[in-house]
Amino acid sequence: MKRPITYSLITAAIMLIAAGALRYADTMHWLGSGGRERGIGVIIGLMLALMANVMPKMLPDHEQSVEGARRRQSVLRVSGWLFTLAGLGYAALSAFAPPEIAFPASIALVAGALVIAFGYTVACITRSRQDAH
Amino acid sequence: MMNSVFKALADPTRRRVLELLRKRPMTAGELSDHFPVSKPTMSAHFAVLREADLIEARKIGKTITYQLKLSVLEDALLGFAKLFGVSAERKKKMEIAKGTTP
Repeated sequence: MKRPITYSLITAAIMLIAAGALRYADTMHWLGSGGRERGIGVIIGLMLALMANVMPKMLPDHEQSVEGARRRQSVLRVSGWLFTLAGLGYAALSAFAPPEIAFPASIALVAGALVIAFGYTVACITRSRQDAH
Repeated sequence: MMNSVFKALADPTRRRVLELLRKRPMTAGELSDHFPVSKPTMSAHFAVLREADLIEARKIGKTITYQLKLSVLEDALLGFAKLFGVSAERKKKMEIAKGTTP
């Protein structure tokens, strides 16, 4: 990825500014009941989506073989999409779902993405070891 | 940065290159075999894609191989560009068939 440090600094700045704006809004009593928690959930979800967005660009410096590069590319792409969608879902649930559902549903969404991504990665590694033998 | 991405995705040949690389990394020769254009023309397309950071050239073994490097957003933009590109092409063919093209 070109300029990864710049991207990371921008992401961090967005997170800090959003947190500061949320704190200020809470101090000024602009947020209703549960507004602060919703805001935090939206920020967390969007940050997850922002970081997952660039996962497929995180290619290693060296590859042993074309097949290995293909599998790694596939894992990064699938994981990137899963976590980006999970992050957007997390933000949407935090913003719009009833409070008693928002938190557990958001966590379930991200956990589900993690399980699927992990399972896919293990399957790719297993297949590559079988092909090697 | 996004300007270079849109420019890269605007061309159907470059979109096809990205679709081919989605299946697996390929050498410049393997990619060029899929297109009826000269190697210098293909090199120009590769340069545009590299400039937009959508592909990366790396040495795997003894050969230089191109690998896909799309973020999720760029992947989605490619899908949209392909959809609108196919729609525009289909519309053009229909107009030619009807004889309405000037």
